[in-house]
Amino acid sequence: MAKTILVIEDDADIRRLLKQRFESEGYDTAFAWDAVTALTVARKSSPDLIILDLGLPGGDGWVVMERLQTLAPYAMIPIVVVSAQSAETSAERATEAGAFAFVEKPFQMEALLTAVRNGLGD
Amino acid sequence: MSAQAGTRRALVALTVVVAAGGFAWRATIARRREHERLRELGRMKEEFVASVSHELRTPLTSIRGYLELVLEGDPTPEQADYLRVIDRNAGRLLDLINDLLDVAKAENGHLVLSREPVALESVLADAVAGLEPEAVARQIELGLHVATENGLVDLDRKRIGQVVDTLLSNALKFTPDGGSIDVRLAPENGHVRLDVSDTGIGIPEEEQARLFERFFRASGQSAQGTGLGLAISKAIVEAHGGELAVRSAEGIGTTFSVLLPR
Repeated sequence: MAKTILVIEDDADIRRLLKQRFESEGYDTAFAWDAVTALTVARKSSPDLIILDLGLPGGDGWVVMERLQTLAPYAMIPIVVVSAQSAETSAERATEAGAFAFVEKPFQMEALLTAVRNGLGD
Repeated sequence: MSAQAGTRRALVALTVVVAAGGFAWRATIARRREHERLRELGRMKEEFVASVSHELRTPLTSIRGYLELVLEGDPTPEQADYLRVIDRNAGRLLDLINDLLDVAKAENGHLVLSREPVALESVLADAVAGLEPEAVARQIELGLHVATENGLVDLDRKRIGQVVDTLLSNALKFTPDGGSIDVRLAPENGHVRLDVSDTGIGIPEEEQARLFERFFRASGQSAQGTGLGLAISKAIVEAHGGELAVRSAEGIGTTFSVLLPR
C-alpha cells in the first residue's frame, strides 16, 4: 500500500506542486492549510510522514508542531519542516522541537524528496 | 576685593559650573536618546528585511518548483534554454535576498559566528574545486599555494567560506580568458594571511576606497552579482577580528588580502 504524506502548507500553489511531485513518486497525499485543518486531516488520513510549513498564518506552524509532538497517535510520525525563514534562524529550533529534518524555502525538489525518503525509511 | 564681592563672584562661578554641568548632562541624555533611537531604527530595519525576505522566498519556491516540472517535461531546446534563464534569474533573486539579510545583520552587529578550529586550507581547497570547471573552460590557471605550518584557526567555517567564495568568484569574473588566479595562505605575525590575486583588468584607484560600500559596482563589471558581496565579506572578516584589504593596478591585476588572528 502506498504511504501517505500529509502536507500542511497555506500556499495553494505549493500544495499543488507537492501533490504533483509526491503522487508521481507513488505516494498518497493529504492536505491541510492551517492549524485547525491540520489536526482534522491528520486524524482522517493517518499519514506516514508530515510536511509542515512553519510559516502558517498567525505563527501557527510552531503550534501545530507542538500539538503533533504531544498527541499520542502522531508523536511518532516524522515531520519534515519547510520554512521560508532561513535555516540559520529556525533549523535548530525545529530540530529541538522534534522535527526529523529542516528544508529551507525555496527548496530544490530533490532535497525535499531526499528528506522525505529518509523520513519514511525508503 | 570686599568679602561681599568675593562671595558674589564665587556664587556666579558656581552658577556657571552648575549650568554647564546641566547642559553637559542634558547633552549626554540627548546623545543617549539619539543612540537608542538609531539602534531601534536599525533593529526595525533588520526586522523589515527579514519579513520581506520571508515573503519573497515563498513565491520563489513556486517559481523554481514549477520550472523544474516544465523542464522535466518535453520542452523544445529553445524553450528549455529560456526556462533555464528564468531559473538562473530566480537564483539571482534568492542570492540578493540572502545578501540583504546578511547586510542588515552586519549593520546591527548581529552576524552570529559559530566558531570552531578550522584548517583554512580545506576551506580554500573546497572553494577552488568549486570554480575549477569554469577556470578550465576559460583557460584560467587557478593556483593554490599553501605554506605548511598554518595549523587550525578559530573561525566560522561557513562564513569564511562565503568570503573565500566571494573573493574567488570576483577574481574569476574580472580575469580575462587565459589569465591566472593565485590563492596563497601563509602565517604572518600571529595571524594567517590569505591573498587572492588575479591578472584581471584592475580597479582604478579612485574606486578602490568605495569597493566595500554596499551596492557599489566597479566600472567594467557586468550586471551579474548583487554588489553586496564585498561589503558582507568585510563585515564577516571584521567580526572575526580580522582585516580585508585590496591592492590593485589597472591593467595588471588585483589582490585581496584577508588577515585573520589565530
